[in-house]
Amino acid sequence: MFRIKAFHLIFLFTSFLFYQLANTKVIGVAPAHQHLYEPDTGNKWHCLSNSEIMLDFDQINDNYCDCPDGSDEPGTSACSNGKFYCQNVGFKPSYIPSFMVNDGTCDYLNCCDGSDEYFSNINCPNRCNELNEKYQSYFNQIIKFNDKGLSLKEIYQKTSLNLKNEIISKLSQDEAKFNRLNNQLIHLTNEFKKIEENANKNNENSLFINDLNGLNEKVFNPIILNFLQLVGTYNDNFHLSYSNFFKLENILNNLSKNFDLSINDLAVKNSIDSFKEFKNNLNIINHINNSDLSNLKTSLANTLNLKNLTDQILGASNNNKLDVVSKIKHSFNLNYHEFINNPELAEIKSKIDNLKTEVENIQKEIDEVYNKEIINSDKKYGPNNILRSLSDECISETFGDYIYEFCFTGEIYQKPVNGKSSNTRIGKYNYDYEIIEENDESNVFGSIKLTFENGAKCWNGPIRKGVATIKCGIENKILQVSEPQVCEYHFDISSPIACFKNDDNISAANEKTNEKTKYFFHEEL
Amino acid sequence: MKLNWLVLFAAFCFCVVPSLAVKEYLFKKCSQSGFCQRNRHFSNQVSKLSLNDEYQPRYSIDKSSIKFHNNNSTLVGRLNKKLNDDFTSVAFGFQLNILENHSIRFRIEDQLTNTVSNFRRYNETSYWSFKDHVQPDLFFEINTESKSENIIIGYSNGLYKIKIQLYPFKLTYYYNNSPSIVLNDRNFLNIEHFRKKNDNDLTKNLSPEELDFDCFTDSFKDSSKNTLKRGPESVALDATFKNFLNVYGIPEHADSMALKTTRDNRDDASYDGKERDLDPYRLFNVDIFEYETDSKLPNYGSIPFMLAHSHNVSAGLFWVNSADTWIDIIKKDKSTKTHWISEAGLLDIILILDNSPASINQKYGDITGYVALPQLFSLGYHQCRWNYNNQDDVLNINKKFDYFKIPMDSIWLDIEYTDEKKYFTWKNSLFNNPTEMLSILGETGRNLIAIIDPHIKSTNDKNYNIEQQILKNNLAIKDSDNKNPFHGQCWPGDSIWIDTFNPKAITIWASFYQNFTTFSNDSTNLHIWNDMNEPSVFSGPETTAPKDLVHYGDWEHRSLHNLYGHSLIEATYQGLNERYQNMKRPFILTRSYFSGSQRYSAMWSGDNMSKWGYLKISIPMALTSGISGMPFSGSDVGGFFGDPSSELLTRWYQTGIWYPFFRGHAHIDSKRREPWVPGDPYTSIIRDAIKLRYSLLPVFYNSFYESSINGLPVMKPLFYENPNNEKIFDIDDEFFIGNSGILVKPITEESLSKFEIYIPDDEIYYDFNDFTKIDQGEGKYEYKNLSLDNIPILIKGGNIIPRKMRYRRSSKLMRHDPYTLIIALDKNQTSSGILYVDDFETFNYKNNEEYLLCKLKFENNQISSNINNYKNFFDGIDEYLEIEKIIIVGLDDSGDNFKGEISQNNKIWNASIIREKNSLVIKNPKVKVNTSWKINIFNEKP
Repeated sequence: MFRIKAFHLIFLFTSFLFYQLANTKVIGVAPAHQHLYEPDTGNKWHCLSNSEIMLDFDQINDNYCDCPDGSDEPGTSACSNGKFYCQNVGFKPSYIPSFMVNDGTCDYLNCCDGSDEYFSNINCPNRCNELNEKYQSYFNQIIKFNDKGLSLKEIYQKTSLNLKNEIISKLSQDEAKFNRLNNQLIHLTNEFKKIEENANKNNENSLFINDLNGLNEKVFNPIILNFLQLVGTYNDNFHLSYSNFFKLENILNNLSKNFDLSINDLAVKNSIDSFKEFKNNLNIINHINNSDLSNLKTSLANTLNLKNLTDQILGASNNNKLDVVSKIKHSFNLNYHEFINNPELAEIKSKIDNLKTEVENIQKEIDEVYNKEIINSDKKYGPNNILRSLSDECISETFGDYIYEFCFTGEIYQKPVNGKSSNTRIGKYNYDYEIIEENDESNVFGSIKLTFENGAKCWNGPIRKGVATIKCGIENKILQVSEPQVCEYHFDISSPIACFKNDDNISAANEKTNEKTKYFFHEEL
Repeated sequence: MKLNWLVLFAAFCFCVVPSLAVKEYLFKKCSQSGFCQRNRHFSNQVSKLSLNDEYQPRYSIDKSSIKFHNNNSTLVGRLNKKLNDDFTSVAFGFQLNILENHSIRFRIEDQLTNTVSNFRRYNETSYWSFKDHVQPDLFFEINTESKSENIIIGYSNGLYKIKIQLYPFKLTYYYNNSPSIVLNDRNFLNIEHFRKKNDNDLTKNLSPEELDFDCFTDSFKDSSKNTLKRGPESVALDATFKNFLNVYGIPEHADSMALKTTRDNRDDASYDGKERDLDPYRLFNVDIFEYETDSKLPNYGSIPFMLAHSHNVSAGLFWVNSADTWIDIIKKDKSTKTHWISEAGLLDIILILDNSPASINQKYGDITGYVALPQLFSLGYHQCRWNYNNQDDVLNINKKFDYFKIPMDSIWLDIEYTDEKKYFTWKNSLFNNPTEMLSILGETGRNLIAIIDPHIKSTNDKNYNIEQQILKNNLAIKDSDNKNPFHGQCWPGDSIWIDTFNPKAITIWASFYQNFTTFSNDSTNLHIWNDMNEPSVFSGPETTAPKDLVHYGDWEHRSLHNLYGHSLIEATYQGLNERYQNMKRPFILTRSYFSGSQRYSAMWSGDNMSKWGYLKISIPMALTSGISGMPFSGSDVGGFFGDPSSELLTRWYQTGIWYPFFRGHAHIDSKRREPWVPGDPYTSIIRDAIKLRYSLLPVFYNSFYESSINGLPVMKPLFYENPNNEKIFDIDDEFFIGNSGILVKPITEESLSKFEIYIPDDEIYYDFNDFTKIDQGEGKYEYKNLSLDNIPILIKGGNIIPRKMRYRRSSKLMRHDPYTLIIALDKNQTSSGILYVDDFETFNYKNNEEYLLCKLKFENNQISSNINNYKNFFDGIDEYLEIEKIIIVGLDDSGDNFKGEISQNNKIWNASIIREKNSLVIKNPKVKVNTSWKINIFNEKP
């Protein structure tokens, strides 16, 4: 076991004192600030930001915090807000927080000269040259990397703009077509109205009487048929549910039989018990008899009592007949022409209908494209719609037992390597493009965050979700997948689209070497 | 009828919605447990008959058999049990020992002639439970007196007296001439002697007051395969604590500190015969999934030790039995009457009487050992989750604590780090370089704690060396046939269980920690978490092992069930000691435990939930654990199951910092909840709380030091501080930290704005934060305008509190930091305290006496530190350990011109003293911790 004897420490301590005396430098203070640590004529000194607090000069670095701003203890850990200056000869000078001073661990990431441990039982030799080399090559590499990424990004940028322009031009074509068709529609509708008015005036009575016998066929029968259809659909749905029920029952049977006891999930055990109980109590279900349908039909016809109705109409006076007609029209909300043959009207009507459908479709398409692709498109696809260039781009990578397939503006899937179970959807891009400022120390220039929601639901758990953090890289690649909490997947992805050409950013990054390079050096050292 | 299935289906859907509550039907009620029901029935019948004086008790001592061995203060003799035929008796041997610490041990054993098919009762519970596997020393010098009806033994100048009544057998234990504990007071003594199935009837073996329910079969659905080869073999006895109204202990239950009554007083004339009984408290180690609060259901660990306390006298009862055990409690005639029922094993009982609860703990610890002095790091903050997924995840968590400036000492790995739940392996795709990971954690003095469970995956290949070694050496727990290894289901699926009752299994299990090669033998910051060691068996009855399994020595699992977890951690402890060549104190966390487990490990209260009720109950659970000699305890901060609100999480941290064992943990289905997750203001408040814990580590270390030599609870109930104040006997929502004088009442309710803390005596107290003097005397003290960052903490006058105020990333990085002393004065303007210092991690404090014990005192305006054991130690750095600040609180002299004179090592210098709010502060006195010193202060009148 490694042990430093007391005399080592005494040696350390006295050499430290000599150092202080010989250099008359205050430890933990940058050369540029040494002049702030001069005693006055009475050998007194005041706190840097509290001139009213006067101290004896030897209270500086006496390992007791007197100044609220921590300025009297630049070289010890006494003040919680203190800063310790590391000269780091061979690299760049930096400050470390006071809690790292003399705590028994070499904080090379911030203080590569090891000067932070001048009074503790460990030895921290200077490693600044070594770090400087590594840092320089790392930083150069990063810049080079970023430059290459940026040139690739420009290509993506162009593609994206082209795609955006294509959409805009397609949209204007659609709008022109819409206007044309809409005008036609207005014209035809007006024409139809005119003809209909004339026809109403001339022919109402006689046409009506003649066709009254067709009332059954035109009005009531469709109602009955419609009803029967509804019953039929209900019946089909019923059978569908019924077969689903049996499928479900099979699944549960399998579960009961093959349940893996190693999963200590009482909810599952409980479900299985309940299912068995349920099955014991279940009566056999009768199929619905199809003859029920014809019974239903007869009963409906009887109820409507059509014969009585037609007799009533035929026996009424003409005026009354009109009353009856208007009643029928009202009741069934029908247009007259719909059960009176007028070939001209019918033709126009069908044209109008077709046109209407066409106009509506175009309108819908325009709205859809507009809402999806135009409104807030920078939020959805990023500045200059950069993600458009990746809308067909899907990348995949294997991690552990799974292959992950990631489509930038689409979906993320998890597929088992052995292919034994089915693919699982982790989520779909929610069109929320977020640029993360570089507050994460592992990320020098910023990153992009995309969220994928509404994945498949986890058993007994939440709905799956994916969060992708895209960092600058020269290819589109999934670097890492993690699941920090159940059913929430985090993807580290590299792509040129996350390379940023902001000089300020780079120089800011350069300034913050301590924070920035911490991660890197941790990996490298 | 046609839509019926829909309705049914809907109902079915409804019932699969997982409801979060314990599945009570999985666990036996007393009425479903053969021996419990039989003994309760027996006690009912005896009570009923006794009411009318119609009962003729069956147990008597044969006077002619009594032998007294004065040279080892032992009384032996024969106890006869009269059978139903009125002329046959079964004879048992009994033995009474007076132990060196003045407590007594009473045992009843079958005589060999009683046995059927050579059945023996399990007699090794004490071997495992007692410290160093050694029987307690015997005490000498006693006086005996033999009268016709009684034998009377007195010792210790008459302070203690034992009266044994021959018929009906009864043992009364006196303290200061007052009868305090009476055994067999109600004639519930019942030893089910061995018999054959076809002899179990009223002609002889069964008495009319007995029931034959489930003597040879088990009618409980989940354990219907239980073969009761030995038939009925329970032991039961009643014990009356005379003039004691409060009893405590017998963990583990999620219940109040003061134990509750479990049944009606059936021997009361007014008893109406209606069934209103609750179940007894049960001691049976089980994996109680989603346990409930305020419950007497068994939990993960068992300590059959009960403390009774009254004015001026305390009593301890240790029921040395490791089988399934039920305990009924009633209160009557100003006394507490208990009934102890165990399924098998010996009747072996230790009784302790003394003048304070702390003395009872000390004597109980004489027998079962005291808590091992933990490494300092293990008193810091532990960050756990099921699971940190891979190496990057772990190292990222490690960095985040520094980024948010929150101190932390260990990161934990739950089961997912293993390769397919094969313990002692790593899943390489997730952890490709554990040694490097450990070394990065070690840079800031941090540790990794990895889980190792006792179930071993049963694989079909020969590559899993751990399984192979167990099978090859025949070291698995065996099926009831005593031939093949028992197979059951646990995390890995089909599994076998290591039988650590076998000495060879202990050796091999210990060796696994050395051969855990990919864990790297030279990593010294790796420690172990033994979970699922009840043992938890998903496919077993009551989620544990079938009782008819067979262990080493041919003992049935039934008899030693509650010891299994203990035997496992003992083996792990040996393994870690070998791994670290006895240089470092091992840290082990266990879920299952028994009396004596405190010597090896910390425990936590298992799988709690993210609900306010669980936060609240965590305090009495920790207090009970401390009362029961297992002070290193805590609950999962935040609650294991579910997602706590930010307020609950914050309050839980403010409570958790007082747990002796302080760990945040979360279930795999819950969201991430590390301290930075909720964001401010919560994160800042949580950070402040954790920093407070770190600043008080010297107090916790002091308390553990004391507990390790005298058994004092670290989280200490109020009645330990004021044993004669009856008003506080059941207060279990506030507590002291050891003997430090720090009184805390954590907030465990939502959205509180007003709060009361109970001051338990007439001493002066001070607010911990601003030193406001509270001199109101005993009673409630109210906090108004309570906010989320408030934790009600008081300091009792008369105590000196050492702190370390500087933030460092871990406790190890704090070890050279100077101390701050808070001197809180009492009514007489005096104060005292201790400061214990050693190297915080090795056994040198014990082996080489390398430690400092500073006795701190304030008297007549003099502060002094006295040391009489000093030896140079731990890297020599202690030479520079200083005191940077002394804060004197409550000094009557309000002068503002205080001067001071400091003397140490024959040097004298002046102190710099200033007045601050409510205190007088000695700035940077520059006194070293390692030698005695004095500071005289005086107010210089101008």
